[in-house]
Amino acid sequence: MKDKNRFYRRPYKVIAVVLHVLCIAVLIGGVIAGRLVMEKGYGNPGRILSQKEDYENTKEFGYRFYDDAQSVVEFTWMKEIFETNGNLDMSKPALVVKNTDGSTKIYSLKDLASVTMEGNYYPAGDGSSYGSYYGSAYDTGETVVIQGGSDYSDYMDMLDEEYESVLEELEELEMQASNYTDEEMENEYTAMINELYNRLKSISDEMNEYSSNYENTYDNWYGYGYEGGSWETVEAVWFVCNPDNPLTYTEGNKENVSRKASLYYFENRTADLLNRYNMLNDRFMDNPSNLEFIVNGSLSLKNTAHTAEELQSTGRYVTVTGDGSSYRLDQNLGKYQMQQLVQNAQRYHVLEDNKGSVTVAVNTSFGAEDLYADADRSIRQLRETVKLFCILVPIAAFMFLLTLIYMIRGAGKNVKAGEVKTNWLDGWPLEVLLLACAGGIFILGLITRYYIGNYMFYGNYDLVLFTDSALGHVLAVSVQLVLTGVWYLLGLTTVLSLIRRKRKKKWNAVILPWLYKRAKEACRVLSVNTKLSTQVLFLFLIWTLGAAALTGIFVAGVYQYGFGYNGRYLGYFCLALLAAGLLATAAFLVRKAIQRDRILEGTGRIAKGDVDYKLDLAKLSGGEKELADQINHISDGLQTAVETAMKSERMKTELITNVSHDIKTPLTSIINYVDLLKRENIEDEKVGQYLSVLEQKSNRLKVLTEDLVEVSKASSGNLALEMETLDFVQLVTQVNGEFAERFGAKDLRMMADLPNQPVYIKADGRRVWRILDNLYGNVVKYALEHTRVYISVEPGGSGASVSFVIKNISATPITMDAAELTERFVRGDLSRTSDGSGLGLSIAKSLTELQNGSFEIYLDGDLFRVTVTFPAVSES
Amino acid sequence: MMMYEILVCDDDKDIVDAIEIYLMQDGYHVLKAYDGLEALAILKSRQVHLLIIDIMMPKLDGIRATLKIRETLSIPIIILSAKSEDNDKILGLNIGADDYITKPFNPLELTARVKSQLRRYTMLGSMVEPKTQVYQTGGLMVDDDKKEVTVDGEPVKMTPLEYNILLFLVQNAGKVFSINQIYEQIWNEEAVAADNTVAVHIRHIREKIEINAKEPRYLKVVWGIGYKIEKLM
Repeated sequence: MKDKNRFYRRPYKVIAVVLHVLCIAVLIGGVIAGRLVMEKGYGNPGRILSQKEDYENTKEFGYRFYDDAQSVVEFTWMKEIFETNGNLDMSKPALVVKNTDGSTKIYSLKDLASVTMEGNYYPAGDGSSYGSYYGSAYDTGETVVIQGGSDYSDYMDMLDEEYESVLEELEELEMQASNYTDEEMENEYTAMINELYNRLKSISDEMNEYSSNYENTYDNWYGYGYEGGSWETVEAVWFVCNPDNPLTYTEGNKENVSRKASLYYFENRTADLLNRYNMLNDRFMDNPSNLEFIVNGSLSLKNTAHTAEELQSTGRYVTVTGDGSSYRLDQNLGKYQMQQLVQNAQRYHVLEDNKGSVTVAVNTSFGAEDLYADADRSIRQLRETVKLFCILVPIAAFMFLLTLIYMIRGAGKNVKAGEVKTNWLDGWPLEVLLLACAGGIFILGLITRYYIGNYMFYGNYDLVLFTDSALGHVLAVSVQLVLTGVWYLLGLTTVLSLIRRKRKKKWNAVILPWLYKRAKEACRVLSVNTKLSTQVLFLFLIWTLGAAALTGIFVAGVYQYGFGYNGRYLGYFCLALLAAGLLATAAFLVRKAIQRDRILEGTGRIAKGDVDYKLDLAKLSGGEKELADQINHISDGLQTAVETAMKSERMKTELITNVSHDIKTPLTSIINYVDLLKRENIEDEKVGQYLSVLEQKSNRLKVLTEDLVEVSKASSGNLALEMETLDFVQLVTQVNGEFAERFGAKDLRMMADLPNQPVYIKADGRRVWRILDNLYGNVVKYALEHTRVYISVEPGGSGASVSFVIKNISATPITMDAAELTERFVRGDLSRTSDGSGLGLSIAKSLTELQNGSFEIYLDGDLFRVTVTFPAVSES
Repeated sequence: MMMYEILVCDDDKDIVDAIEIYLMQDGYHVLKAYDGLEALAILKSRQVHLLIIDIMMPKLDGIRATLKIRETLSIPIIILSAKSEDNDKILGLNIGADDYITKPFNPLELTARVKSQLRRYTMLGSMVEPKTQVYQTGGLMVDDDKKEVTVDGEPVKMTPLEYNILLFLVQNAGKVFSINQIYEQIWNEEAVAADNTVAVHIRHIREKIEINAKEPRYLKVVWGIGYKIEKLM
């Protein structure tokens, strides 16, 4: 048999790992490339792949083109503002400040902005570092007033004053009006009052509108005070600051409204504009550019030698004219954008009086080395990349899975089958490994989240520090790739180590097993030693508190603002915990219920008589297990008790039978030999007497022994009764017949009163005969001679029962009561000399009761009466 | 007259001796055994006409011995035992004994039963041709032609009423009749108020034909239901 593990040898494994990592890299790269494509507005990867999707057809191109068209107009204007004779002139005035006392101060460009080493512009002041960002004006709080006019607050105060005076007037009027009750006067006053009210209302309306407008134009850029005003107004400054320029600008009809701004604001604005001017100059004028334009209006500029018509034939273009017409060859620009272009041009005073035109075009051959060419190149590269990835990704995915399975299956396997090979990582304690893995993932997660995530979600390129080009993006995400890869590998190595440990069954866990044991012990102790009521209460409390807490966190996290994504995740996590807790509780309760049902079923079976049945302890746990165990013990005890009782019963019967048998045997000999002696016909009278005594006594012994067996059986219920439906009347008749002679021998007259119809009872005929035999026998023994004996059978209880009554006169007085007579061995004849064992009545009573009858003795002087009652049945 | 050989088997020597005296007084020859094995041995070697055997004996008890004997012999067997339960009696009679006497016993009863069994046994050998009007059950024979009643050959005197009742019951041996039914049958009148005439007569009959009226063999009282003549072989 070939070695099964030959595929898992080290070299193979190494290959597998390398392959795995490569596949991951490819996969991630593919995903990112795809995402990149979509994000950049290049369209979906599918479109990228089609040859028709050139750069100039992408949305990205459209945005850029539009942007640049706007910039062209802006640049034209900037050149006018900032340059003298085609060169930047920093000494040009930028800002004129009119103070309240009428004096003016002029700030030049240089005053407001300074150049740093890198060639960028920053607000003036120190100008050498970022520290100057806060500028000199911030510290001094110098404010400037643009254009004359009253203060905002002055204006508001003015309105307020007006309001107050009108109010005063109104109050006076009202007071006056109350003094006069004349109807005519009243109407007049009413009219005046109404008028005043209207004025008040209009004033307050004005105040509201002014203050809201004021606030709407409030700009909080960089967080320092720039109160009131708008860009237009600021730009108006430029025009104000160039007094020679015939171009003026007024801001709507709010000439009276003042504008306040801090100097710092202008420094910043200036710096920004200069920077922008710099950049546009770079792009459009100084460096080769595929974008060419011709501005031909109130301001003119161009960066190309071609004519407008020529430009229109080189690729994409847009042309707007002062009179509002426009045409273009770029489907990315819509009507709205065209309008915006025109407006912008007018705003910057490039196109005025409906005259002039602006043409912007991009040479789609992308001959020059500029941003467009860059983008075009990168998109081609991207296309290639995507094509590559479309092939690689499926393969990589497949190989990824394959190698993953291989690695999992091969974890720990080496050459020898059955042996698990572990490495140094497996020697680490389990807890350390898990913590390291979790910690590593967490840290990486943080990095990924805040840096790469920021990039991914918010397109915040700054943090990635690459240029805004397609290739740059791909490079950028390779960082993410690496980080994610590390994350994944960390997890993978941990998982493989776990698998190896499991296979070798050597977990190397230091704390966990101890913890687990303690926890299990605690649970077991808790669950066994505490009452079920405590357990349930405890569980309920925990559940309620926990559920409340989790629900609170969930609601707060998901629905409250301010927690962000973290809050949401936490919230959902808590929801999951809640659900888990619910399930666990349900499982616990159901389990307990099932166990209780099992116990109930088991005890039911035991109760029904299956005393041997034992409850299955294996399926129960905790308190239920103990309960079942105790029940089993009880049933054991029960079984033992039952067996003991049965055994003692058997022993009793056996004892009596055996004893009576053992007595009867020697008794037989006694009787026999006494009889033999009698047959010897001994002459001696005394001998004869002695013999007769012997005979009598031995006979008594015989009777006693027989009665003894009978009474024990009767009183213990060990008699087997053959219950039949008998005619009680007939039975008594039969007994009467049996005793007729004996009664006659003692001259006892039988007075029988029996019903004409049969009366049926359910009894054992032989036993009933025995009862009556006994009673009649007693009569023969103890009744006074020559008296009557009354016998009757009386139905009673409206047919539900029938009673047999026998009455006789006793020959000797009876000195004890009825109850005593039926005691065993009690004889009416206290001297115990006559026949009889004293068990007769006892036997009769027991036999009666065994057959569901009742036995009653009544004594009155010498009258001896016995009543035997049986339940009557109908003949069946 | 033939000398009958009777085998008495009991582990109590005194009882065996006592029985021997009784039986010898009646003119029987008695053989003695003290356990079942001995009894079997004697039975093999001698001709025995009747066996009296106890149950509780060592080596081989009476029940097993009876079973063994009945494989080969059909002589009358009387079981004599202190075991007086119904079950014991039933068992004894079922396994082949012809009679069951309990200890302590009445010696007269014992000898009467022995006589009865022997008579029947010998009569079986010289069976009279069954006549049409002769009703027989066990040892009881009622000859309606001669109007004679014999028990084991011995004639019994009966009053006409007693004879009629007995005849009626013997003719329907095995059937139980209530007092009223018997009354109507014999007196040809409807039974009036239940009186004990019939019962008294039955008692008399019993005392005449039975060895022990308290333990009748033939005429049995079914208490609460009536009377019957047992159908015996």
